[in-house]
Parts: sequence; structure tokens; C-alpha cells
Amino acid sequence: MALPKPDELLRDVNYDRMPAKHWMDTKPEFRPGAYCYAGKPSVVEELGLPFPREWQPHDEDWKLPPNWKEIVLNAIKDRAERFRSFKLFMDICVRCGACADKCHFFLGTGDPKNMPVLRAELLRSVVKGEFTRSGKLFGRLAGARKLTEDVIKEWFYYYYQCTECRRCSVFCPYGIDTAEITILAREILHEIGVNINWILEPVRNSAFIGNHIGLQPHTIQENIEFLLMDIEEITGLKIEVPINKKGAEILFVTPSADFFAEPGIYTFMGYVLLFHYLGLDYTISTYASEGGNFGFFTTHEMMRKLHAKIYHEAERLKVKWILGGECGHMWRVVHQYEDTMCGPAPSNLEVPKSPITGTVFEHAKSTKIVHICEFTADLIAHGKLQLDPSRNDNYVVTFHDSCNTSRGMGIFEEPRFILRHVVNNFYEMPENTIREKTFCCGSGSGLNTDEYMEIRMRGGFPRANAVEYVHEKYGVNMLACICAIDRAVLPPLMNYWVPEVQVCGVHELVGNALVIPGEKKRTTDLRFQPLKGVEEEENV
Amino acid sequence: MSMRAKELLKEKKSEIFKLWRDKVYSLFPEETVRFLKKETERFENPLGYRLEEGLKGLLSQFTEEFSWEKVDYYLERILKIQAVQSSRPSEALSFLYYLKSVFREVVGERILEEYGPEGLLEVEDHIDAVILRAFNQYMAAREKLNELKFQEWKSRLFLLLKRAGYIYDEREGSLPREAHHNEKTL
Ligand code: SF4
Ligand code: SF4
Repeated sequence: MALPKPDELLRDVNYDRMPAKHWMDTKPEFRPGAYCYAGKPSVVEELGLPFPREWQPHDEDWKLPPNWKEIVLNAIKDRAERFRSFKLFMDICVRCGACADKCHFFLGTGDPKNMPVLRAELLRSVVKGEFTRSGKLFGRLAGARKLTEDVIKEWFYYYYQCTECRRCSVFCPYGIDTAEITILAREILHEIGVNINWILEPVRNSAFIGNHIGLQPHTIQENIEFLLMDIEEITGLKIEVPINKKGAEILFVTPSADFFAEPGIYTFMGYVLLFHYLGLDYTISTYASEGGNFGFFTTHEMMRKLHAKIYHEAERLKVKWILGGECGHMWRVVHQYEDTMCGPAPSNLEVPKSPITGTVFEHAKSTKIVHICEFTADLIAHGKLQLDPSRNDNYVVTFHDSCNTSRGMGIFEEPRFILRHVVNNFYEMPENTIREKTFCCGSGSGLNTDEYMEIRMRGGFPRANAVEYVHEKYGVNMLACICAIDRAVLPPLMNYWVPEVQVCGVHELVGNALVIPGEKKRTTDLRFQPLKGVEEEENV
Repeated sequence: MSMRAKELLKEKKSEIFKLWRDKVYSLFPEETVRFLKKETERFENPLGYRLEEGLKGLLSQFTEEFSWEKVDYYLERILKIQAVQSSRPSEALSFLYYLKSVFREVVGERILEEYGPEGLLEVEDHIDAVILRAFNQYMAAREKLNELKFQEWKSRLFLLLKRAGYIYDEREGSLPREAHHNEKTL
């Protein structure tokens, strides 16, 4: 007797998700959860970007301008002339495959077009097919194809499924940086009005108001005052935060989420306690009230425009140097473009020098911006902070290297150095998932929107998987990071994959540990959670 | 709960596993399957590692002692992946349906010979029961995804909500964080 084969029936129930076809013949499926909404016409218009119109990625007709093809081809030519890296990257890939399995989106989605080599090929094939003779002659045999509307849709799908994290470039023997290709591909798409709202709305708010969600100066001030009341409740200290103060020594710029979002506000409380402890002469600007720069995810020009406000404020407020908070891509902008596109710094700025330790931050000689982890690590190294790490004993901590601060600019040691001094329980995740090999949070480069949750959970899976390991092995329950996008997106990522683990900024833990003259005996941490030992004591 | 055909399944365990994995992986494109099978180091290939771990774990419930506790554990791990990977619920749960196919293909005839239809029905009833249970896990994961979206909005606007008195925070006696998790996972 031959038994029936149930999986034959199954073929009717599910149709093949990704049938075996040549990659050029497969099309992305724009289903909810797997794409970001298009830019609102009003936002696109206000920013002066081309072709504002009503459209959505799931529409059949994207209402591209009639000469879209000409625009795209010209844009490619233009970028190839202006960016040597782009021209080179289009040329030199030998398809060795070393990068293929290094992208968190490939690892988390299993979609081959998320292999960095193929991601770049999406554009390279068109460059070949439209600009080279062999490509025109041999077409697919030469890995070449023509530019069609389907190609545009595919670009949109996959270049917004790359977080510009650069992990792939670490493994490429030629140093090909697929993130740069993504940056330019998005820039090219902008020219025909193909964009996402989650990036453009914050850009507009930053440009016109000063920060991503458009907090007005008085709202920023009220929020800070509210946090200061919490600080008073916890420490008994009455602290003031100088806002828009002319002539202060230091301008402090941090991602605006630290003013209002959870858990960023606790990091903010940490900064404030530290500055109070030091008696620092600093100020916060309500106009340059955003460290983040979503312009970086739009076009090079937009990045420069948004960054300029930080220097303008430094000039207007006549400060000597700039201290930057825990932000990710802000630092990539500073590190990679400050000296070229965004500079030079205004002439009133001086080489940053710590007023407490006298350390001159030579590496910031031309940018005049110092990262708060560099600043704090220097304080600790000079023995300037009195710390009680036992106040963080509720937490078993691990550290997530944010792509931008780690791979983008090499901050590996400072946050770890700080953590080792402010907590008693610190454990590293496995070596192949941290430092320059760190796995992205899966929501960077402006993809941290709720409509994109499924892809975010897939892209963040390799990161969460490593956290889960240290959670099981060492009981890790706190994931520290130095990036505001991380503080926003790692909580849902943890909530889904490793719900026992919470997320914090490094300076929240600093704020907890700092022993400040004149404070009352603390019974809770900055989250109002009872300190370890306190509850038992009280119950005795 | 013990199945009569257990020993037979045990004997063919590795063959069953390989065939099952191949069928499950047929949902992925070829290039990906090559990678998923290549090396299953936990961090270099998290998807392959976790799927293999889950499939092996579930299979051993049929070849060793069947335990709902373990079934739930492995189901949860696989279905969290499926809930974000698959485009439709039927696809997310189909890996269990494939198990039925594989059992029939590899040992179906022998089970019939040795234990009669009851032996086979017993195994298949267990798979059906696991599928029902898997549906719970799938739904829990989808609900969780939805919860993430509104929780994220609340966190984003945390201070504004708190200032407006809309946050029911722990000091005022709301459920501790863990309570939500327990509620959702089972
Ligand atoms: S930059 Fe990051 S997200 Fe983009 S292809 Fe490379 S590894 Fe993937
Ligand atoms: S590692 Fe570099 S050369 Fe090799 S396939 Fe990837 S991008 Fe091309």
C-alpha cells in the first residue's frame, strides 16, 4: 500500500515563497511589515526635494516622473564622476563571496539579495547594462541588465534593507564598502522622488525646528525641568541645566530622544549628574537640539545642511568646544565628513581641552567635537570620579557596539573602560559579534519605524541571538549602548527575542554610580528601581 | 505519553531529520539553503543554528519521551522566527505538516506492518496536537509584534505622556515588566 504524501497537498496551501529563478527574474513582494511608507508630499515639498506626490510602495504605479530613466542614468554618471569610491566599487568586486554571509539582513532574512555582494550587484548590473559595451552586447551573460521600473522597485526594497552598517566591508579583501553604495543608491532614488517618510519627517523637523520630533524650545526646557525634579527626588540635589547660555565653555549636543524618550531620559539624567559633579561650564542649545542627522540617510547635501546648525550655534553661543552625547550616526558624520563636507569649524572654537584633567583632545583638533565617552573615560583614568559600582548591582551588563561609533570611528575601549568602573558585573558577547564585527541593531539608517517591524526583527536577530547567549550563560539582564537609535530600537528587539533583557545608555550607569557630595542616601536608581539590598534593609 | 512506534522512529532518526530539514528549507532559495546547511555555528549562522536546534529538539520528542514542556520550548523558538519570516500563517506552520510527510515516507510502511494503522495514527495524532499547540505560539509571537509597535510609541513619547499623567508607572502599582512577558509567552 502506498501512503498518501501530504506535502503534495501543501503545495496548494502555500505557494513557493522564493521559487528557483535567476535573481534578475525575482521581484520583491511589498507586503506590510516589509517596507517603509513613502515621504508625505508636504514634507518632500518643504524640503525642496523633487517630485512630491501621493504614492506608496505597495502601489502598482509609483507615479515616477516621465523622464525618470534619464534622471537616474544622469545621476549615476554624476556620482561616478564625483565619488572615486563609487566608481571603484562598481569596478573591482571579484565576487569572491567573502562578504556574502556577513550581513545581518541576509543572516536574518535568508534572502540572497541581502548578501552584500548581490546588493551591490543590483546597481552594478545596471551600470554595466546601460553604460558598457560588453553589457549592452552580452546582457545577462555579462551580469548586465537594463534599467526598468521593476529595477527601481527592487532598489528601493533592498537599499532600504541595508542599514549602512559596514559589517560587510570588514570582510572584503578589497575594502568594498556596500554601505557607500547604499548611501548613493538612496541619493539617486531621491532624484526621482522615491523616498521614505520616516527619514524625511525628522529631517524636516531638524531643519526647521531643531530636532527630530520638532520639540519647541519651551518644551525642551519643561522636559528637562521635569527630569530635574526626578533627579531631586532620587538624589536630593537641586540642579540646573543651562540652556542657550552665551559664553559657556562647552556646547553639549545630544540626540533629542534623550530629552523625552524612554530609556534615553535616564542617560540624560546621567549626563546632568556628571556635569553637576564636575561643576562644568556648559550649555544646551534648543536649536542645535539634535545630535542625530537623518540628512546622512538622505543626501550628502542634506547631511551638511543639518550638521551646520551645530556649528552655527557653537558660533552664536561663543563656546570654546563641543561635547557630544551618546549618539551613533552623529559620530559617523563627525568622523568621516567633518573635515571635508561639513567643516571647517567656526573660528571661535578651540582645540578641546578637559577643564578638569587638562587633557587636550588632539584627535579633535580640527573638528572641535569630543565624544562624551572619551571625556568620561579620561576623567576616570585620572581618578577624578568617585564611583560606587554596587549601585548598579541589580544589573548584569553587556555592551553592544553601535555600528557607527565602533566600525565607523573606532570607539571600542572607552565605553568598556567606563563600564568596568561603574558596574560590578560586565560580560562580553562572543568575539565574532562585537567590536569591528559587531552585529547591527537591524533598524539603523532611518529604518526604525513601526511599519517596518518584521524586517527589523529579522535584521536584528543575529544581535539578539548573541545577547541571548550571554543572558543564558551569565544572567545578563542589561544591554548597554552609546547610540540613541539603539536605545530606541533595542528594547523592542529584546522584548521579542530575549524579553528578560533591558537596554540603557552607558551614562545612565555612570549617573547611578556617581557619588556626589551633598546628595542624600540613594535608595533607587535613575529608573526609580530600588537599589539592591535596599528593600531587604527596609524590611528588616 | 508513549508511542508504540517510538523505537522505529529512533532507529531512523538521522534519515528523518535530514529529509525533514530539506523539506523545511525548500521554502528558502537555493543559495540560502547552501549557506544554512554549510556551517551551523551559533553566531555565524544564527538562523540555520536555531532552525536545526528546533527541528532536532522536536524530533526527539517523538524518538525519546514526549514532553509538552520541551515541545513548547522548541516551538516557541522556531515560531518566533516563522512569525517574522513567513508571509502567511499556513506557511509558518507547514514545517510540522512536513514532519507527517517525512514519517510516512521513511517509516510509514514499517509502522503499518508492525503496529497496524493504530501505530501510525498515534504518531500522526501527536503531530496534529503539536500543530495546534504551534498555533498558540505563532499567535503569541504575532501579538507580540503588534505589542512592540504600540510599546515603542509609548517609549518614544514617554516623557510627554508621563508629564500628562498618562503613564501608569510601577511606582503607582502597575504590573512589573516580567508580568507582561509571562502573560504573552504562554
Ligand atoms: S552595510 Fe551592513 S546592512 Fe548594508 S550590506 Fe553591508 S552588512 Fe548588510
Ligand atoms: S568580499 Fe568584496 S570582492 Fe568579495 S564579493 Fe564581497 S564585495 Fe566583492
